[in-house]
Amino acid sequence: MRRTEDVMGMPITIDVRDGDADLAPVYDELRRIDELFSTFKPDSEICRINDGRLALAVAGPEVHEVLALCDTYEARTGGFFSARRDGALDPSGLVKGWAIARAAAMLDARDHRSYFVDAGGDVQTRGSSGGSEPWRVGIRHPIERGSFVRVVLARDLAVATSGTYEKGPHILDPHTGRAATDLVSLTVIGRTILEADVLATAAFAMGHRAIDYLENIPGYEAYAIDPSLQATWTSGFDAWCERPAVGV
Amino acid sequence: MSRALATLAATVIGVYWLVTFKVTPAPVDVPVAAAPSSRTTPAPGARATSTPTPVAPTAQGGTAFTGTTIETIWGPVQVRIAVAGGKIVDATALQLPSDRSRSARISQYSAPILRSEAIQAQSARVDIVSGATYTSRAYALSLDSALKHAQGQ
Amino acid sequence: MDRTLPVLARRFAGRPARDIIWTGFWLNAIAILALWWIGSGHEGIKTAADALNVAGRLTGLLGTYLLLWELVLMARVPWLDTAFGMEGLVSLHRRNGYLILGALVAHAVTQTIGYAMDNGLGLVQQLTDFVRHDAGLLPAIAALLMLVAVTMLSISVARRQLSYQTWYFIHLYAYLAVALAFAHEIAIGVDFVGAPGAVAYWSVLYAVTIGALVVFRIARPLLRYERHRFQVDRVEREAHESISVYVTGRDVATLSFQAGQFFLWRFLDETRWSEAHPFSLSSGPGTPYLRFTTKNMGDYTAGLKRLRPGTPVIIEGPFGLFTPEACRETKALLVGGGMGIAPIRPLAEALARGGVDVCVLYRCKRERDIAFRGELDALASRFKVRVEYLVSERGSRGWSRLEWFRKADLVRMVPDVTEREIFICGPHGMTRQLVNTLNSLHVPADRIHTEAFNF
Repeated sequence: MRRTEDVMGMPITIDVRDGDADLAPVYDELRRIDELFSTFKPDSEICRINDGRLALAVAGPEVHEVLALCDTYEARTGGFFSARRDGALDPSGLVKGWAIARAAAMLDARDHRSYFVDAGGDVQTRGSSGGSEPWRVGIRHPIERGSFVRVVLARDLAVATSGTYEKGPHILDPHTGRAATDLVSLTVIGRTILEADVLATAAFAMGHRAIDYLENIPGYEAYAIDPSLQATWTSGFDAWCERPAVGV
Repeated sequence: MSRALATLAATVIGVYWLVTFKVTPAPVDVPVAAAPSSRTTPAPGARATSTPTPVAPTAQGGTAFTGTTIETIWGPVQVRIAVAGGKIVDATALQLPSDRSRSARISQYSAPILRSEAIQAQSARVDIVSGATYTSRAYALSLDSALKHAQGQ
Repeated sequence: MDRTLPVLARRFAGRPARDIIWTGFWLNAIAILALWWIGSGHEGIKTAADALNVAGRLTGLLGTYLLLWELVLMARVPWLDTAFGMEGLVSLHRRNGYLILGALVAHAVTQTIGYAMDNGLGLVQQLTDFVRHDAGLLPAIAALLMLVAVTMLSISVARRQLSYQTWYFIHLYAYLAVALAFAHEIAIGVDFVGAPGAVAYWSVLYAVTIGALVVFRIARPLLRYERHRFQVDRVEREAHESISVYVTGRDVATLSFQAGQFFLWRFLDETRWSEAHPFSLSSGPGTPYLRFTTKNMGDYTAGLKRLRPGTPVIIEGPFGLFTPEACRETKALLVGGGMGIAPIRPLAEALARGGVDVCVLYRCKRERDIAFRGELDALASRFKVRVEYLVSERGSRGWSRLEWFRKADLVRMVPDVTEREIFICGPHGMTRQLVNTLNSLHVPADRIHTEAFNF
């Protein structure tokens, strides 16, 4: 069964293939997370911390968990992922993946083994789409909506894509403060959506060096498209795709 | 004695800073010495510049072009590509810097020559679409503007 | 542990010990050259930059190897002490220090220029590039600067300007430098990257060095203190200007050392805890107290008379080759000058008890400076030890200070001097003159043993 609801300003689709699932509590949880972390909701804990109305020390445990994860990733990506911009907290780059992971955990707790949770183009898949068929995840063509550049065959795989073709250049290089414009699309695949999401955001800001950086991250592969529609990818990416690299 | 303590404190702080000083990855700009200097896919048989020389039909079909040798900071790099049907179908490295005495950085990264392609649009049956985050607001706005467009406004 | 170590060390003494240690030194040096050859050396030299980088790698590897030895030399390893003696070790340490400095500075310079030439960068740009992109290089640069400072400040001209404590404090930074440099060696050393065997071997070298330091400089003295709980018993005036410090504890009689050896003494009170000073024992093994005797030679020794009874004492050692085991003849001549009588006193007794025919020449300035007179007279009567007090101010027999150890005079005093094992402990001038005289008498060099108090 499949359901889509708008949460966190984007459509979130959950599709469970093994058995009936009561998805209402999962969406409730996603809405609750949005109430906590949204930078668009003035009464979210994050906004109140930024305003000074809430002391960080007394914020909820989930805020602390997310901020701790942000610090860890900031260190691991050499600062290319950062939850701080202009002195204010903005963990949304991590919250999305974290929320998807929480939703997936709720489904796991109910013993579901074949499902996906897709939030605005970042997805955690579990198991297969039916029988032994992998989940087919199409990477969107930046220009021709409705077309795909690659099809990833996913089993227990997370896929996260960062890009500028929807919202325009909105990912900033935290070191220079300027928008990262070397790439238009970067897709990262790997085991967990949290990691894939953060890596996609951080590496996108690295521009031309994104693929080199991701080549050296074990367990994660990536596909990058530049503004002239040339793509490069990590050496392990082809193995996950439906067809070999270049059309014959 | 207090001078010794001050020196000790300064040493501890100094060592802490030295040890936590972050090293960033060096820029790895090893260009694939592709033949056509333009990024568009070459028409079959086209010679965009005079440097690439077709060698022979390759096993994958298509024509092979050997690129110029590019001097990188680790040494010479030369690549041969195979072009078929207007697309690059393969790339092999002919020359790679083998001189280990140059820099240990290369072994740190062990970056293979990464392939690249011009993306193609395929229409395929998929279960999930992974793309750059779009907000339903933006979607709605663009839908809205498309509708307005359609209504000739 | 304390019983077996000195025994093992003694069996290992002298020339054979030195040979083994030098062999070990050269074998490891060859292993390092092999490591270099396998890693990058075999690739050959094609450009000037290559030549510089090869020089840089070799100086880096060998310089660091020497640096590890430099630490081991001062680690108070008993086998090193019996092989070279403390004086020998200090001398090696000093010479090695200059070699290390030269090698490591050359390493830094050649590698920087070599890489700069390869990368087409200026020197400053290359250094910046190193620091920003190469793991561990910033600490390594700091380490090199520390070593330069440590070495430069140890040159006698500079060292004399500093108090011992200041000089010693700075010298400790050498340990920090070694630790800071390790990371860059493994992380970006061309012969180590991707060569786990080389990394393993290099790590073993470091581990052995650290092990030696921990065991012999830290663990052994602390364990010994735990066992014996040494503390100051009393300080007595021994002669006009000399004092004897008596140290007691638990089972002191079981402490294993030989007559004539010295310890490094560290008194744990507010002013002295940071310094360890060498003093020869003026008592022999098997007594319930340790005693050393000294006179006023500087601030530290002048202050010793104010040592409080009960002050805990940590001792390192025993060190020294000035021992009965060194005596291979059946007759011995022991010459003590001034405070040099301190190790002579127990040595004389130990040799005499062992059946050696002992003659002691005790040279000092004035009657009132004579120390251990009662003990020496007792030795004379009990063990037939011949003791001659050669006092300058006496002038009796018409001998002036400088004349006692002229050839004719020496032979007249000790007719069978050429048949005796010779032990000399005293001021430089006296020792030198006496050794010259003995050489002119063709006494073989390996039968002459000297001890000095100036390191």
